[in-house]
Amino acid sequence: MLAYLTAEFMKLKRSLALLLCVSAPIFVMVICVLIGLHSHKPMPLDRYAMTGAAFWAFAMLPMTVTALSVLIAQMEHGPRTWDHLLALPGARPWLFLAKAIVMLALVAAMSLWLFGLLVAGAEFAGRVHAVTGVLDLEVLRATLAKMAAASLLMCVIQLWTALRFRSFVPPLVLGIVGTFIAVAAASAREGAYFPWLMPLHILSTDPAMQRMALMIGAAGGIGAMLAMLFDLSRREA
Amino acid sequence: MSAVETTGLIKRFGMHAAVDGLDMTVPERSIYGFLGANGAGKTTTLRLVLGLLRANGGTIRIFGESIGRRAIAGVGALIEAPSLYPHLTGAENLAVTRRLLGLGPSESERVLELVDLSRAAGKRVGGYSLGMRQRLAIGRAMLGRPRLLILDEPTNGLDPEGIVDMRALLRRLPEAEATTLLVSSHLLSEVEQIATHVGMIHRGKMLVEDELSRLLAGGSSVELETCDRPAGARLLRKAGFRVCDDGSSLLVEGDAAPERIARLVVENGLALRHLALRRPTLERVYHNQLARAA
Repeated sequence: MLAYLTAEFMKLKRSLALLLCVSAPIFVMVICVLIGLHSHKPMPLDRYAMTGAAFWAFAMLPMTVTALSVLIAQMEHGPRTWDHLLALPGARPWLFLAKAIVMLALVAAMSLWLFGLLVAGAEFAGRVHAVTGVLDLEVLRATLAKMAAASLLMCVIQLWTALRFRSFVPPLVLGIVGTFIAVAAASAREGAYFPWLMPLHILSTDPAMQRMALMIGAAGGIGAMLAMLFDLSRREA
Repeated sequence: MSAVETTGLIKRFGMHAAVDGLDMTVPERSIYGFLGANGAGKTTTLRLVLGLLRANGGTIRIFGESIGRRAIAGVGALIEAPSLYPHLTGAENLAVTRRLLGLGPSESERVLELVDLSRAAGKRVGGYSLGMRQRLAIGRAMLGRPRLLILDEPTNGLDPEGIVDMRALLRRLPEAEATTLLVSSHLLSEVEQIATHVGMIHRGKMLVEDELSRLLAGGSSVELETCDRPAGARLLRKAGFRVCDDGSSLLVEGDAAPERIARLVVENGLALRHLALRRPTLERVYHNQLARAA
């Protein structure tokens, strides 16, 4: 398994997937800082941090996960490397599990990167503009970590679709439709269980809602991952 | 022991049988040319042998073992296109597979040398020519010294220089690496130059399978031009030869001795302008087999 993971991480070198992971959180930080600096009033740092987390959960994370799943899968679909990989003597589920782990590791790394960027953004804003309050690092760290965990189901669904279809269109359509429905259903009761909304539910003031989002997102994600491994490993190349 | 042995192999896609009861035996340490037209079932057969497709019937054995992870462990393959990661260098592409096979870094250096790409190893594969990619993909298939190397159309899309390089590489592999080579191609003349054994597939069935030398043995013909072609044809037929007149020259079929034909023609007062011995080609054997199957 370690060999598969190392190989998957090696493939990220000079890849667009890695570039995306570096750049996506930067956009969130820049937008949040610009909004704060535009205000005539002093910038409240706790609101600044939660705005960043909300932007991330609502729009940037689903869009980034869509693009990331496509880029990871197209690394194999594009140059048609499946025949080569699947003809190797290793166990097929390890190959797909390694891909899923890489995807989740990148989402976790982006969350960590966003945390660092938001802290740096707050520091920068404090130097050039009046700010109020203090940035609660513990709350911000826990929120972003929970969001990453709650996004597991959405990540697996996206990756499964991207790996299953040779064309990039199905996962892209799924990601766009998923994000659109999430925007439309964010405040609807039926939207409570929609996988794309799980990271956003982490921002809810209701602890039960947060627990449910973590449960559906993380536990559902593990279940979906097992189903993905079973399906992809059995398919003919 | 055979490197590959299939018995009654069947693969259907819907109602269409792409491989239809195929019996194939690839002897160990041979260069086996697997020939057939596009769509004859070559690639499907190779994908079945590699476990990429599941057969609907029949058996496959690789070095005596049923198809599975253990059997595949001694097999390297290049199926259709050289599938490489363009954003990685040649060495990095090899390193990805090398790690999956649990091999040390020296193995990459060995195969890079084998396929003559040591100097280009640090360059991104996106900048490689098709010939270089093909060689790198073969090098990748050679990682871990597989006992069987399966190459599907390895000269596809190569320029004449690339084809010559590839031919030289394939010729030296069995000796340098103690490997069996199973090469599929629709280019009969290419296979004729490298193969020791040949199998011909048509509509999913094996037409003929034998040593190349045996397939090409006998059946030589003599081509000649005389000052009077109809008279020459009459004379040779009278002497018991099978003669074919193609409008510009005469073709004496069967194992005819050229010196006897030359003497007969000259002694009967016909001027001999040209005489050549024409050995049978794989192409002719293939077309004869196709005609027989039809």
